[in-house]
Amino acid sequence: MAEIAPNTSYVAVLGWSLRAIEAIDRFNRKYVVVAPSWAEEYAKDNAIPYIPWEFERLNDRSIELYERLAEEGVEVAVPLFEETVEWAGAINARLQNKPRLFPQSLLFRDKSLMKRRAQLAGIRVGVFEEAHDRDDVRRFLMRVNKALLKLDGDPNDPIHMKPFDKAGTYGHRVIKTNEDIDAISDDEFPCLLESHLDGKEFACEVFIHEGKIRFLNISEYVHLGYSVFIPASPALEEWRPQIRKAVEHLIQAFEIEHGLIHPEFFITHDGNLHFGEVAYRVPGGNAFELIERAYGFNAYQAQVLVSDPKATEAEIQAFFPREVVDAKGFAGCFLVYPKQRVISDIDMPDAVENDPYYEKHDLFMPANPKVAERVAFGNHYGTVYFFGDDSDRMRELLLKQEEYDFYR
Amino acid sequence: MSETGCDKAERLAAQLAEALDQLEAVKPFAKLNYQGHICDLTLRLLKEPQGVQWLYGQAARFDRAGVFYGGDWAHPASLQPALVSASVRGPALSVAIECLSELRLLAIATGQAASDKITPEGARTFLEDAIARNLDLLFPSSSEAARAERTPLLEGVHRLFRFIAERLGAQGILESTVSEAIRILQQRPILVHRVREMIDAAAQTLAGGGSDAIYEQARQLTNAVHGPSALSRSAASLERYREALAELDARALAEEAQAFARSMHETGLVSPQHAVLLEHVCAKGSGDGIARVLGLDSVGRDSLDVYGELVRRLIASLAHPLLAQSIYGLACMLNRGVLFFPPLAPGLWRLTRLQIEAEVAAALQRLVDESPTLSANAVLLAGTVSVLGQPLGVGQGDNPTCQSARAISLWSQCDPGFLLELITWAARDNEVDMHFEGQLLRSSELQSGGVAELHTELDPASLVLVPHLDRIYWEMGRRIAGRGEDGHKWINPEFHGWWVQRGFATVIQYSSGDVIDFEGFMRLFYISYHPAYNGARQLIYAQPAGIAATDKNGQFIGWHAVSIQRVTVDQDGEVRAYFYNPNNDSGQDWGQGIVTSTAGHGEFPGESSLPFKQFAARLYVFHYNSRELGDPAAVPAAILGEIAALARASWARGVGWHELVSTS
Repeated sequence: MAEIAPNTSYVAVLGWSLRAIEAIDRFNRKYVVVAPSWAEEYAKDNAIPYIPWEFERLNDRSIELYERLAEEGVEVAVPLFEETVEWAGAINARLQNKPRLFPQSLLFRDKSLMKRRAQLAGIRVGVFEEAHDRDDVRRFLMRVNKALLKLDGDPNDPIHMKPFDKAGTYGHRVIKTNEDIDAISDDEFPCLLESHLDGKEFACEVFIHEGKIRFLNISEYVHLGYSVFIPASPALEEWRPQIRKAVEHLIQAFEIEHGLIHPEFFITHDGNLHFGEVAYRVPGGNAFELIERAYGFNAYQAQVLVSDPKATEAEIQAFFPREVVDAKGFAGCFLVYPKQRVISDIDMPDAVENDPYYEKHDLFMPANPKVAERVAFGNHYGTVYFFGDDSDRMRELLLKQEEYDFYR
Repeated sequence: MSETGCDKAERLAAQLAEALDQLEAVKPFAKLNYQGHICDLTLRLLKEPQGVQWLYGQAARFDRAGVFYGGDWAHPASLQPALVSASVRGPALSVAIECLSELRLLAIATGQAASDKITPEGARTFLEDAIARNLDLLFPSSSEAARAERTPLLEGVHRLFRFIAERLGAQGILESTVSEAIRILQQRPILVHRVREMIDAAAQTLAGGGSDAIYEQARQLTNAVHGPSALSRSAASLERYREALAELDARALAEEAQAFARSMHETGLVSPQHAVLLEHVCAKGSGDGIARVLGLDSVGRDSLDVYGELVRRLIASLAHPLLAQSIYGLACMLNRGVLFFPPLAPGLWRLTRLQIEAEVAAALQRLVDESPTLSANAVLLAGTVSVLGQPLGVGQGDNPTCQSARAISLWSQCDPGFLLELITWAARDNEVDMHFEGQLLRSSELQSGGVAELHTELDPASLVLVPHLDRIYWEMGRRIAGRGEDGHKWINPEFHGWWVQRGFATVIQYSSGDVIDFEGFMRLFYISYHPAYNGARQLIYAQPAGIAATDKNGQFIGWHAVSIQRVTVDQDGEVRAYFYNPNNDSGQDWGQGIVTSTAGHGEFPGESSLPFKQFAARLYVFHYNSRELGDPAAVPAAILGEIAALARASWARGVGWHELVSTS
């Protein structure tokens, strides 16, 4: 552990991520990792401060974790994964004596509740409904398309189906036809249905302290589920003032004081911003790695910093660089999913290795050579990282990656 | 503007330096997050012509930075040179790590880096040994197989090996290559092409000079392969050599024959010219001449006298440059006197005329690159003669078929007539029949055995037999499933022959995998096999036995089939177990100081030996004759305790261990 700065909070990190632990270990806050017992041996062997806990649904025993952390002297809990968000809410509510933090955290954990809250605050969202069975889905698909004045035989506009409480694109289905509906299994209900929003989708990583935006990154999706780069292209960055306003609106609506949020928006052809969803945790898709590459600061440390109410203005000012202008270039990544059913070894295409933008990859052989069926946009096998100074070239390069097979 | 190779390597090296900085800075638990990037950069650098130099420039800090942290390579003193070959041809990640490890060791060996985990001498020895075992990486061969596997990455590995060899110096490499070749040849394997590659590679380093003794040994080996006499070396081609032979008078021809025979019996290697010489002498009609070319002893000469016609018929087939190596097998077969065993001569005659099944014939011809001047029968005869002449030279190749290889070896020793019968069936019918507990097993009707695809780098007899034997062996295994006991008890006597003793002992409880009554098991082994405790009875028939194979750290690798050949006292008065190991190289380090010897303790070529106690420490299954046992009480408990301690600290570590409670 690095030297601890005076007048800072003792932080509990909820969830096990070696990258996060490593970064926080180098940071200037006292910390302890709360993670399932399978991590115990590793934590002990490597002298990582650790408290065992199984994160299941909140239950009667949840208070025990709070008591354990309070006794330890922890002052702030920071969630790493979707499943730990409500735990952080519950613990922080007690530690910081702010009872509303707990129900607030549930807004992030229930996409239906989240949309309602946004709608109540006057944020533009699509049409949405909760579904309990396939008939609900059928009805919603029909009603949405009726509203769009589709005639019989016209292809349907798609609708989206998402689990209430899963991270990112996990379990996300796009539904256009009755066959799509038949393919849904019973255990996917209940879930959220929403209308399709046309337009360009993008995500933000927003570091908030005392209700104010301290750093706003815009991540540009080149192809959702495959490729993204940071900072966004000049064309998207043009919208930064509107995006900033929308994020501030969101912060107000959700009454967020401290921490990191990861909202997704759609920007329509006519320049309107639609709210997609928001998470209160480390984003998937390697955004943190890209931020570090582009801006040079560690986003895990940033998350801990803004989560700490004791962080001072001066510390925050010194920590964050200026948005966009301080970026050293564009950092992009491509998520690889093998094209073959069985793979035997990595096979990096020469064209990728020899590209001056290419930086590194983490594709080395997974333990199981049999490729798992792709679930929604999830379970990619590894990531290829690029860095360069032209966003157009980056976009082209990332799209080009879809032609390659990285395994043999 | 395109980047030159030099610039690129330099840029990658700069990235590597940065990545090493990062890796070095992080705590051990986070090293894993950064090692992949190092490997990626390593693979990219290996593909650049100058990449190895750049990599080596940083090699001194690999260990310190934590490149190997958390993996097997973190313990350089435990690494095994034998595994290098597979690593550098394996998945990209293992190629990268292995190459980084080699460079790290080179830095240690040359004093560029210090290490508290391995000495400079240890590092040097490892690298020399690794290179000696991978000479094809140092001197790329031009074979089709080698061509097929050539990739930019493997080119990089070649560059790496050359780089290391240049820095270690040719002397050490030559010494380890030659001593490795000699060590293997002392075991008189039937298949010698890998040794020949080593010798050819050593010949290339001869140009650089070396100490006299090693130079002499290397030259002797090179000559054994390429021409044992001055005349054979000076002839530009085999045809020229044939012409030159025609010019020789009787005395010169006799000297030529002696030079060839001496070289063959001293090294176990045969040159292609030997085939020409043998054909020449055979055509001239003199039995004495044949005996001289083959280097026959008195038994061999008697064999030749009695079976002259058959031997000439065999020579007509074997005296071909591509089959020349089997001339050694022929000489050994005659010297063994095995032809006097009645079924052999007619059995061999039958093989000369056999109609070989088309698929089998094609496989045999592939062994000689489908040479149009060779028939499948000639190839099969050569293989049969080799197996009959060198029963302990049979190897399993790269196949997990130790059982089949051992069976072929045992039949050649104990039941050669039956072996000829099996070879005939397999070659003519592409099928082998055996009986198990009264039921017929036909190999053609059985599912595949333990080996899905046979590596064909085998002697011709094994190539023909192993697919059938493997299937039958596994089918016998299926038939005993559910009996709750180690199936070898029933399988071994039925698979090999009646001469495998029905008494059967195992120390592993089949249901639990635990060790049961180790002391009782060991006591029984002593009173069956140890001459001091079994009434000084000799072993009549070699017996199959099972050992727990361990690596040089004493870690369990797997169960392995060997045969106990004999137990006797060596020249130093130590009782040793002599055994046959179907592995291709029987010189092995089993950990705990147990290193199998293949020469120097009275071993016959192809035998391994260990002090009796050390062998016992790895034994888990054996057969015995229940009517020929010594007194169990006579075996000192102290010895048994010592053996148990060795077993428990190696292969039986972590295994349940239950001794019977003594009631006395």
